[in-house]
Amino acid sequence: MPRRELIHPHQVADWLEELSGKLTQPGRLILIGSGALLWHAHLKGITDPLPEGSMDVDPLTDSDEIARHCYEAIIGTPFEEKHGWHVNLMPNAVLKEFPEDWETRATTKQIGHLEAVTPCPPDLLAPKLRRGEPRDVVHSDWAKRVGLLD
Amino acid sequence: MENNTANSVWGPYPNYDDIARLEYGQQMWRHDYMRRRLLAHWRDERHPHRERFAEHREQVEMALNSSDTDEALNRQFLSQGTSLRCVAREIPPVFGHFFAK
Repeated sequence: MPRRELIHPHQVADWLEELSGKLTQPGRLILIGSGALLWHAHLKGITDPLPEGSMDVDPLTDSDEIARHCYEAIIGTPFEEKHGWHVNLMPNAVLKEFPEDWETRATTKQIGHLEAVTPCPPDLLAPKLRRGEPRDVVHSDWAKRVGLLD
Repeated sequence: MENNTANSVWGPYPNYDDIARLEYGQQMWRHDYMRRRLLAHWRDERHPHRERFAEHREQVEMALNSSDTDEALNRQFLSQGTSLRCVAREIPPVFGHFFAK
């Protein structure tokens, strides 16, 4: 089986475009984790792949329609079979891992009906660096190297 | 969610997978189609938690049906000798390879 992790910035952009195309009404999604770092990279035109790729993206949403589409992309679905990674819905409570005022620094991008919000890269890295697993450190180093923290 | 409220319900080291199954389970439970689909999935012979779900179904459904705050729902479960944290743990996961439409 070919290697199909989530490593390229455009993979997250493609997924958000695909998701947006399915929405019939406006909805908000907050993206966190390494998928969010890749989204920031895409927005800055960075194409360097993420070392120690990810097997999922971690979104939060209060939109029933977006959540329903995310259920069609969880582990084991045809979506995962096609893309090689899956969607792992995260609860609102996880946002307390970020600095309290993260929303004031967040990036918001409107893609059709989809409002995609991501904490800024330093805020995204804060819980990763607290956790301090080797993969988290590698992601932090990548973010610095490609200019996400500039 | 206020941190002190979250701590009183979920403890100082919350399990986000459990909370996600509750939060999005409640969202999906409001829709007949998704509720029927989840029930069929959790009762499917292939689901490894099928028997656990049958055992705890009443409380799991009570949690998923609820529009109360986590704190209020937890109080109800505490009066029944359990907790929202324990019930959320019993909400079965969804496995995409047989989550039939």
